[in-house]
Amino acid sequence: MKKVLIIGGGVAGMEAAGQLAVLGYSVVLVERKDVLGGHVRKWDRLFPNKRPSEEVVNHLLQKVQHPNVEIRLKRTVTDLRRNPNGSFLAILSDQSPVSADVVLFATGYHLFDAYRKEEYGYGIYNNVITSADLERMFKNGEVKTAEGKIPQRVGIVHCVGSRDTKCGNLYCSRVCCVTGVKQAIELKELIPNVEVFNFYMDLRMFGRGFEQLYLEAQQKHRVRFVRGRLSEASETQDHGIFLKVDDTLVGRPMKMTVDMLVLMVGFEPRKTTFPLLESLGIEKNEDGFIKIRDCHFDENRTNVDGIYVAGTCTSAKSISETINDACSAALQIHRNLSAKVKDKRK
Amino acid sequence: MYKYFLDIFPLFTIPFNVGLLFFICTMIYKTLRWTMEIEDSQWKILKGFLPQNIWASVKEICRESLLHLRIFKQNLLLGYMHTSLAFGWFLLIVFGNIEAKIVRGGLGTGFELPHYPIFLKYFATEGSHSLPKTVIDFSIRTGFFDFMMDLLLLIILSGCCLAYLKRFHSTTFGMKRTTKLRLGDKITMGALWCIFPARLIAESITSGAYGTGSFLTGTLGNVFAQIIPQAYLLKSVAPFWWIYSITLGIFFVGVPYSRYMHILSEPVLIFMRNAGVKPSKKNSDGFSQAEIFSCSRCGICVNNCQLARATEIRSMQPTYLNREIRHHVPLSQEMLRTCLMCGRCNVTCPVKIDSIQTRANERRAMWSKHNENCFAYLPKVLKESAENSVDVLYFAGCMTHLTPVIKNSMMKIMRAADENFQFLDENGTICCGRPLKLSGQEVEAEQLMAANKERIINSGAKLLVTSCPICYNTFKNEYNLPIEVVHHTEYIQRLIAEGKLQLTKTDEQVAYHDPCELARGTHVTVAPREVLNAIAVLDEQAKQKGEKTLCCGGSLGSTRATNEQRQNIAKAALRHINPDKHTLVTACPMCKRTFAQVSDTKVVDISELVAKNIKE
Repeated sequence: MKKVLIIGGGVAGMEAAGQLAVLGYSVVLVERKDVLGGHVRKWDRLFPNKRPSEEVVNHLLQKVQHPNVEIRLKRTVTDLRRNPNGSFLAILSDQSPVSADVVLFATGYHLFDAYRKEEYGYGIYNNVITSADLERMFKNGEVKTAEGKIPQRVGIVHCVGSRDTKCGNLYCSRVCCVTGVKQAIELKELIPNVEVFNFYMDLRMFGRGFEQLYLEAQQKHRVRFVRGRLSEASETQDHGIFLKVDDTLVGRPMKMTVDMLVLMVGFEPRKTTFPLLESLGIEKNEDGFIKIRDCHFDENRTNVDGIYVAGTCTSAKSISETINDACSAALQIHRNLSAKVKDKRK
Repeated sequence: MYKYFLDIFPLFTIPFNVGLLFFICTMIYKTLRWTMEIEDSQWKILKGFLPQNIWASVKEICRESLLHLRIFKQNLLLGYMHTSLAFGWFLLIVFGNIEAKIVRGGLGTGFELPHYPIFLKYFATEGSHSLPKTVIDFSIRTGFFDFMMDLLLLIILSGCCLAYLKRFHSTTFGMKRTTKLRLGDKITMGALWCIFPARLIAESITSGAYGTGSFLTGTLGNVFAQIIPQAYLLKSVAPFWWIYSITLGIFFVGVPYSRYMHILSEPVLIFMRNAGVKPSKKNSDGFSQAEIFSCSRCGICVNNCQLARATEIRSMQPTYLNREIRHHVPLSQEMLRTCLMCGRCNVTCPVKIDSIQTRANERRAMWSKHNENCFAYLPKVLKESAENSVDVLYFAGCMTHLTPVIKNSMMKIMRAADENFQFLDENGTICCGRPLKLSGQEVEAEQLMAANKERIINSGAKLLVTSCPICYNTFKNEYNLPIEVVHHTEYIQRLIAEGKLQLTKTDEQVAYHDPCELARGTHVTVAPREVLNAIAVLDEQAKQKGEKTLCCGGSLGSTRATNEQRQNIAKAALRHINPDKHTLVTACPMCKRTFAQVSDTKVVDISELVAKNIKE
C-alpha cells in the first residue's frame, strides 16, 4: 500500500486524510497540538449559515476514523529527507521515523499578530481585542469588557494586517470581511441595544450567501458601516477606546468612543515551517505562502516532485474552499501515485 | 618690441599664462559676486579679517584645502590621494619659487613672473635668457632643491596613479562607487591627469639632454639619453615643455567649468564661515552659492547615503544636487522629494556643505502658491487647553500617539516621579510643523507653529518634554520658545540625577539606536546611554555610533521612497545596529515603528524599559 504523510491536522489535513484513506492509501497524519481541528476549533459559529464550528470538526473527525489513517498528535516534523528511490523519510519530534511515498503540506496559516499595528492598541489597552478573542467570548456565551461590563458600543476594524504595505502584507485575507459582518450580527443578537460600527476599506462579499449576510446586517440589525481606515486609538479614563477615523465617503475626520474595539486579524504564512521548506528547496511566494506550480491547472503541487500542498498554506481560504482544495490535492496524489504503479506494471 | 615680449613670455608659456590669467580673473570675479550676494549681511564678511578669524580660516584652509584631514578620516588611501595632489602641488609651487629666487641671485630680487618657477628647468638649462652663471654651478649649488622637487613630483605622481586607480576600481578606497562626470569634468580631469606625467617627461628629457636632474628626473633622463640620440633629445625638449604648458592651460581654463572649481571656492567658503556669515533660505544667496561651487563631487556622500546602499537610487545625492543647481539644470521630482533628509551626508562631507539646507531651500522654492488659511479651524481646538499652572508640559506628538506604549510609559514615569505636569496633547495633537517644513510648505507650517506656541506659552510651564525627536528638534531649533525644551531621554536622566526616579538595574543586554533627529539634529547622545546604563547593559555596538548614526528609513523627509525601499533601509541598518540580536532600544517613535516591522528581536522605546524597571 502506498503511503502518504500529511503534515497538519486542520481542516485541509483531515479532509485530505479522509479522502486518501477511502482511495486506499495508508495515511500518517501529524498534528502538533493534542487535538485535530486547527484554527476552526477556536471559532464559535461559521459564516455564511452560522453553523457551529463543532459540526465541521466532528464531520471531519468521522472521516479520519478510518483503518488506513494513523494519527500522530503532539508531534511535529523536525526533518524531512528524500531517499534515493524518490520516497521520503521524515523524522518526528519524538525521534520516530516515518517513511512515505509522497508528502502533503497542510500546515495552514498564522493569525496576524495585532500588536504589530501598535497604533490600534492591542496588548496595550484591555478593551482592544481580535476577532479570535471575540469568538472565544461567543463560545463562552457572554461578551464583556475587561471591566466586566456589557459593551454598549463596539467598533470592528477590517483589514488588520491585510492589504497593508506598512505591515508588508499586500494580499487580501478573504475571510475577514464576512467574519466582520457575521460578528457584527452576532453581537447585535447577543446584546439587544448594542451599537456596532464596522470600519472598512471595501467589503468583499464574494461567496455564496455573503452578500445576503451583509444586507441582513444593514437592514435587520442596523449595523453601521463606515468606509475609512482607523488612524489611531487611545484609551479614555473609563477604559473606553477613543477612535480617530477618516470617513472617506463623507470626506471628513470622525472621532468617537467605543467600549470595545475588535480587530479583524488576517492570515500570515506560518513561519515555523520555513526551515522545513527551505531544507527541501520548496519555493515560496514573496509574501511567504508556499508557491504552487500553476495558478489555474496545478494548484496542489510545489516545485519539488512528491511534495503536495493543500489549504491555507498556499493562500488565504475559507473553510469551504479549504475542503475543496484538500479534495483536489487527494485526487492529484491519487492520480500521480496510480500512474506510477501502472508504469511499473508495464 | 616683439623680441622683448618673447624674452619675457617665450611662446610655449602662452597657454599656461592665458590659463592662469583666466583662473585668477574668475577667482576675483566669483569672490566679489558671492560677497555682494550674501543675504545675511554683507558687512559681516569684514569680520573675517579680525585676527582670530583670519587665524581660524588659515588653519582650516591648511587642514582641509591642503591636508584634507577629514578625507583621511574616511579612508587613508583616499586621504593620501587628495593630500598628495593638493599639498604636494602646493609645496612644489613653494619650493619652485624659492629655487627660482636662488637662481635669480638671492631673495629680494623683486617680482617674479609666475611661469618662471614653473618652467624653471627649461630656463635653467636653456641659459639664454636671464640666467647668470653656468648650469653646472647652479646644479651643485642647489642640489637640495633638485632633490626636493623630484621627491614632491614623485609624491604627486603616486597620487595621480591612485586617482587613475580610483576611477576604475573605487572599492580599494572604501568607496562603493564614485561620481558620474560631466563633459567639463572629463576634460579638466583629463588635463589634470596629464599635467604631472607631462612635467616628468619634459624635465627628464631636459635633464637627459643636459645631464642635470636629481634621483627621479636625472635617472629617467639618463635612460632617455641612453636610448635616444643626443640630437633628437635636444630637439624634443621644447615640444614636451609645450605639452606641459598646454595641459596646465587647459586645466586652469577648465576649472570654472568643472568640479575643480572647489579649489577656488573652498577657501572663500571657509573665510565666510569663519566671518560668521549665516546661510539664508534661498539658494541664490552668496553663501549658498559658495557652498554649491565648493562641492568637489568626491562622492563621499553617495557612498554614505543609505538610499544608494540599500536601494538602487543613486542620482539624487548632494553631489548631484549641487551639480544640477550650479549648472541650472531643472531639478527632477526624484531629486527633490526622494531624500530622507537624515543628514548623514552633512556629517561626512569633507567640505562641510549643508546639503540638507540646500535641498530644503529647493523644496521651498517648489511651491508657488501657499494656503494662508488651511488651519483656520485651530483656535477652536485651543480653548480647551487653558488650565491651572503646571511645572512640566508633556507633548507626545503624532508619532507617539501611534505608538501608545511610549506615552503610557511616560505617564507612569512622571507619576512615579511625582511631577506636576500637564499632558498637552492628550486629546489631540497639533503637529509640530516639521513634516510640512520638510516638504517645503513653510507658510502652512508657520500656522501650526503659531498655534502650538500659543498653547505652550499659555500653559505657564517652565519645561517642555517631548517624546518624539522630530518634535524636539523643531521646538528647540525653530520655535524660539521662552521655556526650556528637553527630550524625554534628557528628562529621565534629570529625574534620575535629582533622585526623583528610583530604578532597578538589570543585566539585560540591549542595543541602542541613535535616532537621526536626536543624535544629529540636537546632539543628544549621552543622556540615553546614561539612562540605559542605569537599567540595563549596553552592548558593544551601542557604545559607539552617535553623530554618524544610520537612518531607520521611516523618515518624513521623503515623500517618494516606497515602503519596500524603506524596509530595505531598515533591514540594512539593523545589521549594523543590532548584529548580536539583543533587544533593540531606541528613543524615537518613528524608529521604533519602522524597525519593529523588520526586526527579529523586540524593539522598544527607552521610556518603556525605564517604566518597566521603576522601583516600587
